[in-house]
Amino acid sequence: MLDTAGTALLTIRAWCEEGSPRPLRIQIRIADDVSAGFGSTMSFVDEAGAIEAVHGFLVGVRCRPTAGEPVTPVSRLGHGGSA
Amino acid sequence: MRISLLGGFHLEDEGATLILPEGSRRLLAFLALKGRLVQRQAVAGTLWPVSTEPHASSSLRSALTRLRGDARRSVAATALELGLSDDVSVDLWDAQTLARRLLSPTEIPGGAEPGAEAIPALAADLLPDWYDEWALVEAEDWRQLRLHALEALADRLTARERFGDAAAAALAAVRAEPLRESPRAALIRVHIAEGNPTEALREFARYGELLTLELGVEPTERLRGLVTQLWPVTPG
Repeated sequence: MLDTAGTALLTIRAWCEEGSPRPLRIQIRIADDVSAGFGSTMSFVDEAGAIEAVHGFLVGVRCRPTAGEPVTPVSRLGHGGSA
Repeated sequence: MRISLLGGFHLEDEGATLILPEGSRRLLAFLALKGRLVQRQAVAGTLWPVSTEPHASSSLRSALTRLRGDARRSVAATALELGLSDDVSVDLWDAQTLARRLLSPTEIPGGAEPGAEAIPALAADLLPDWYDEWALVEAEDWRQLRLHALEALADRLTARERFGDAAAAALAAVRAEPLRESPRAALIRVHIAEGNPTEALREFARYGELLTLELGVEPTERLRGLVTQLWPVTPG
């Protein structure tokens, strides 16, 4: 669970393995909080698996509530668009 | 004075380690990666992206102020710009030059042909465990450069029949990216050139098992082609 000083991080590395019938390679690394470093690494050969992993990451991020307030997932805070 | 970014941040002056607070370390690392003068405003905005402009500028002034004693000489500052002083060397710059020499398609001009002494620099990650966006992007760029350079070094050393060093270079690339095929191919070529077909086949099998386990795919025909001629060597 993240407090205001925490940051969850996901990186996606993608490349093509020439000559393979399924050439796409996707590697995803996840840090639930960067202060603890990357905790898991997942690899995929298709977009669907990677997209599911990204979705799972976002749904799983929870912000530490202030007193009396319910837990708010980052994905529902309404922050849209990118900088 | 020397800044090390490979394997972690380190600042050294005439053999003595200089300890810096975090803000100052980040500042020197950023300037080292830029390798040129940068507008103060850009430095502040990049290093403290979620702060207001006045707060980021204040954080930058604080980071500069905390560069005390000998460390203060590492930064060249004007009213508008910041950069590293001319007498500061950076390990990453030397490693990048080395990597590009190895990847050059022409003969390496002057100097000695790189050997096993190049492996430690090429095997090191840039600022591992740093998660600033500007550091992550540079780290990925270095990662790709060093992987290709390690493979090229392995091939060069194989051609010079320095098989132990060639294997070490290829293994460093394999460890950095175990699922990529090109480092495995470089390692298999070392084993074949050295006259160790069993080792080549063993490495191929290891890689095949890993691909099956992690991705559910098999090695490419190109890699298989390296070892196909070796099959009659092994029983069964």
